[in-house]
Amino acid sequence: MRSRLVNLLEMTGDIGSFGYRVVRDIFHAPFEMEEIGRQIVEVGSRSVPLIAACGLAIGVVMSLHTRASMVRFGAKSMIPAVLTIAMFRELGPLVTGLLVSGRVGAGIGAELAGMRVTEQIDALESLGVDSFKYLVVTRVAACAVALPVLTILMDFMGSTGGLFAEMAVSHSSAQLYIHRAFASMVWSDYIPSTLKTTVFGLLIGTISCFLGYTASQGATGVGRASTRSVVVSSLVLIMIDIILVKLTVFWFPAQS
Amino acid sequence: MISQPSAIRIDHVSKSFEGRAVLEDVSFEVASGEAFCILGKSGTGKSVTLKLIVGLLSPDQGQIFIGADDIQQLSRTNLLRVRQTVGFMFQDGALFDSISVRENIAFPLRRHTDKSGEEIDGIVRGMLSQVGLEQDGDKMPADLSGGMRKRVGLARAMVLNPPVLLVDEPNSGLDPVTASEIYKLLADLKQKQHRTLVVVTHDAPGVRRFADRLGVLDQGRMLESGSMEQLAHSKNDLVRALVSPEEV
Repeated sequence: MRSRLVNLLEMTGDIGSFGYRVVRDIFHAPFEMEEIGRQIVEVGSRSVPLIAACGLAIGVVMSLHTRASMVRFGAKSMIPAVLTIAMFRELGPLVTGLLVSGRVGAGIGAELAGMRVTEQIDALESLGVDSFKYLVVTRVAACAVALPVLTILMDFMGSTGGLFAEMAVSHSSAQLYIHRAFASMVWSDYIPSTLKTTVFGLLIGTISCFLGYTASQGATGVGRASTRSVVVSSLVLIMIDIILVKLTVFWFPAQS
Repeated sequence: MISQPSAIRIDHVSKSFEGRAVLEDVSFEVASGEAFCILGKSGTGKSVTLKLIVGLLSPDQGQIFIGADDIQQLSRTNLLRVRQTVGFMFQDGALFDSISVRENIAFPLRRHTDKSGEEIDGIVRGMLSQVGLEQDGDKMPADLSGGMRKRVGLARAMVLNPPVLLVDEPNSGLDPVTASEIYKLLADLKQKQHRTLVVVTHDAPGVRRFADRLGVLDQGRMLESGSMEQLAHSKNDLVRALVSPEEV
């Protein structure tokens, strides 16, 4: 039990110093813009179908569930607003973070671990390339940039799913739904919650890169890095989300 | 007589992993244009020695020089610069598996030179031809055999024209014919291009055609070093067995 606790604390410290190095190096040349662009495509564009499909499904399901509850209280007209605010404030950012940690986190962990055990990282270094900047900083930066964009997509697809469900069930017009959905929205409903996904991106990128970049033990190590990337980054993301939500509520009390 | 600095110098280097000593007080020098081969059984610290030379690992004790540069005293930027003067051919090639053979070889040129795309294409074609893989430039590393991977690794290590080349187990996992082809490439580099070679192997007969000197590592210590003939008459049984296995 004690050794597990020590290991956990050690890993936390190691990830912390790894993250510090990422933040330090991200502002120092060379900036590897080409590789960052390639990674944004890898992290962002290739996640679009997954995020869009999930957003749509969540919107539909949320709408159906919300309707069942709201009808009981005679608040059917509130469904679009409740759904949209829930989607923009919390569901969109959190679900996007978890989906990206599953798809991208596992990929980064496995890819870097594979490169480590097959000496590709050593080969990069031996060719005079700073492997940390080239492999780690670029991926973390790409995650931090891609997450907010993917979150906006998730939010809009969720709202669209809700719209489709409402149109199908209550035959209300799209114009009325959109008016009700966004009439009561204020900027603090979507700006802080979207920006917090930059932190999610930094966490997913840093944790996955750490576990991949420091992997060992051959093929077993690759599998372990991949699995742990998803588990650790998802858990950390959920815990940090609680703190960020509390901070948002603290900083924007009037709208909360 | 003016003494030239060695291309590589290792001074009383020790290295251990998790308390297990892998190298103990190892010293040797490799002169410019010389081919030095490190012989030893598996797990005696040969590959670790190569990684120490380019700073992929740090020694616990001792100093390592590439030319006049003490690599432990170099800043990160300068270490990366010095590494461009030392080619490293890894045991399994260590090719970047997400890009083609052609892109693997072009990678150092794109990173470190201002050459145009056309110039780079020309150089890459030349390197592919030199290692006998003219037809395989568009293949992915996963589609190559072990020998082809090593040859691509060699081409990538040489593409920046480094004066020094480190080679890790050039014959491991290869049939005798393919191994002989790799040795021939190394011999050409030594004899025609006067490159400095440090080759780690356990195959003394294979490196006979280009090795100027050999050093025998055992249990982390450099037992002896000298020419093939000198070591063939060593009083140490292991040294004789490694240098002339056919006579044992």
